[in-house]
Amino acid sequence: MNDKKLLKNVIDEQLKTLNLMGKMNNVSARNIDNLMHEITGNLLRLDELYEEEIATLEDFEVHSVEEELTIVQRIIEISKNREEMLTKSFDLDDKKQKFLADLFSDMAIETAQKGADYEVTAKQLEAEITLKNDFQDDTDDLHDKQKQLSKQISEIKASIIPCNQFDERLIQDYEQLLDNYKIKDLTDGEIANLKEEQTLRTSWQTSILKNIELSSNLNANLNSEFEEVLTSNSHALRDANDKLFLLDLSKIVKIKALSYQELSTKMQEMYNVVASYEESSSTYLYPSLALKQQYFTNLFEKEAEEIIKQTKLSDKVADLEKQKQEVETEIREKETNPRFAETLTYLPLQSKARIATNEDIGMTADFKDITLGTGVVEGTAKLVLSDVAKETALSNLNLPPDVALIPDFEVVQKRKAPSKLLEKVKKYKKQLMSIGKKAAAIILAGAILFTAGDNFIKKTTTNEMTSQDVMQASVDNTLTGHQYVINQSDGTKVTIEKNQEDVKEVSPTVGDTVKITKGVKYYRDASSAILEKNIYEVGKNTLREGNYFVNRVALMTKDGNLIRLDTTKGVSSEELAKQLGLKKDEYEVVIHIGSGDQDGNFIEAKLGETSPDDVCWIKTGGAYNKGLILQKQVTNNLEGGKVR
Amino acid sequence: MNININEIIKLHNDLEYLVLSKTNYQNSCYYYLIEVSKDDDIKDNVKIVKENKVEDRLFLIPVTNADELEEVSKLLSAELESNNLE
Repeated sequence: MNDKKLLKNVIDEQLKTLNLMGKMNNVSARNIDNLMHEITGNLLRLDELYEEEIATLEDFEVHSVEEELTIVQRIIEISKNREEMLTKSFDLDDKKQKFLADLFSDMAIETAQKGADYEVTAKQLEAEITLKNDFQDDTDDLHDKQKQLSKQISEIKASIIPCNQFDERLIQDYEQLLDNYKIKDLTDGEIANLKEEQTLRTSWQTSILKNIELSSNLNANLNSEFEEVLTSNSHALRDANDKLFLLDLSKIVKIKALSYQELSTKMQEMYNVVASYEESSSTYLYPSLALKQQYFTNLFEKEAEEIIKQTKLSDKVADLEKQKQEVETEIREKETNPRFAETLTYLPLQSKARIATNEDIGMTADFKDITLGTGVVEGTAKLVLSDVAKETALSNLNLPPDVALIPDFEVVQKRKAPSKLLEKVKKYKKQLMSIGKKAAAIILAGAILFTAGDNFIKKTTTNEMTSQDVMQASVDNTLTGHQYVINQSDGTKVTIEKNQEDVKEVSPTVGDTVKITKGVKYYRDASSAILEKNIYEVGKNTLREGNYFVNRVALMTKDGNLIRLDTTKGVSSEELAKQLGLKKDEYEVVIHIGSGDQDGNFIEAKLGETSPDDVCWIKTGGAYNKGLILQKQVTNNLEGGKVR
Repeated sequence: MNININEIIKLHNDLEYLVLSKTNYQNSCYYYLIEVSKDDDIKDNVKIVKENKVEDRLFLIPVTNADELEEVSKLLSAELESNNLE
């Protein structure tokens, strides 16, 4: 039996005893009070165990969104058990137990809220996993299709006979035909004799046909003899005709075709000539040989069909290549889609950032001081429990508390500094020593990292600035939005304009596209942004430099309370302040950014709900500055929205 | 792992810092660091950090407490003065 189970059993027994004591008359109030104290202590201890377990899970290092979901689901389960312990342990008909239930009701609500936040996170993680899987499935399908097309193309290409080979084969077939007819190597004299024979036999054929016609009604025997002569002459005439026709056909056959298109034209020409020859000659000149009349036509028809087939194969390959290119383009688009890349690149601490964005200010005003075990709930036992649980969980992990929250600062390697570098440092030694003396002042001015500004190194390389000069530059850097003012040792002042984009005075507006650059601080909730609590930094923590959308604008009081939150596209902080009649020094502006949808389009957030693309909160000075660079202003013609 | 002045340390986040000076204050060790670029040039980013050893691992925690920073920075500056950077 684990500690929690044991403690729960003890509490249940104690509650039963409390119930019985209430029913007895001879039990002193002091004894009842003592028991109630014990029960309270045990309940706090049990809650502490739940808190420890959750804290351990929250700090558990995960490497994928699936792992993170498993952790979050476990936290939800624990939160439910914890909430149940804080609400259902008591018999509300018993006055004493009702009192205890009321005592723990705030903690129960807090637990329920935290569980609800994690449920939202789990849904986001599930959506992220679905999105990733869908992307992956789509991409896999496309890759399969691409492979299938490549295979089809290869198979078809293998069955295609190159045009020149086909043409060669056609010529060879023709040569074979000439050979069969024994006319391949005919001399000019023999061809002349053949033509003479053709002329004589044609004339003789005409004469025989006339004689047959004349004799048909006069003398049957004579008619029969003419018929025999006709058959014999028909054979000889056809033979001569065929030979001369084939020799004549060489004018078309021997022209080389350079493409299937040319070959197809050539073939069609041959086919037409052959068909015309056979049709015109057979019936008139040798009617008794009608059955053989389509011999050449059939012979070349097969070749023509083959050419058509080959041409179609080439067309098919071209069509498949086109389809393959389209598939490849689609794959590239999928694989280079920033949203897809984001699903593949798991960012540690995402869950905590998500939890923070779940805390929509309007929704969780009562809980605004609670942030994942690091926050403070004034004046309740929870304060002590949270801190103790956290420290215990961290010590179980063998990490010092601060380090666990800033894991980036572990030393992993060391080496001797090159002398060239040390020489360079020597040049700035005086400035570095002076900065050291003023470090606290700088950090108190708002920076944890000591940054002397862009002009520090550049200026000191050419001008021996005093420490006071450097300090002045640094402090001005943090205090003014537009210029650096550097006091030189000769008493003059040098004013350096900041980058124009940095100083562009544009009031943050829902729907704007903003580039968030390295070094910008970001927060889990708007309140932390004002109070400078739980600071994260672009480039050092999970958020990367890049373009994001402003999806919420919040006006806050100087002490971190919400004045107004708006998610309407086109609404600017300036406009909100104007509507509320606020003067510039009466509010702070905090923006919330989102990454947009998978195609990079803006998603309008809804009040009281998280948006699937929520990222984090960033404090602005009422304009885009200090590392926030306006990339694209939201357009003015907005359906349902307002204008800047 | 121990670190000394004039050594370049590489942190878990891949950033490198040169150790400018080192001091002890209230039984803790503090360092004054300046960031070093990939091509071994100095960058205008300095830190004052506190050492925290856990078994054989060494963690550096940025000092944010004003009083602690005030005291430590004076000591580190003095130590830097005596560093010949060689």
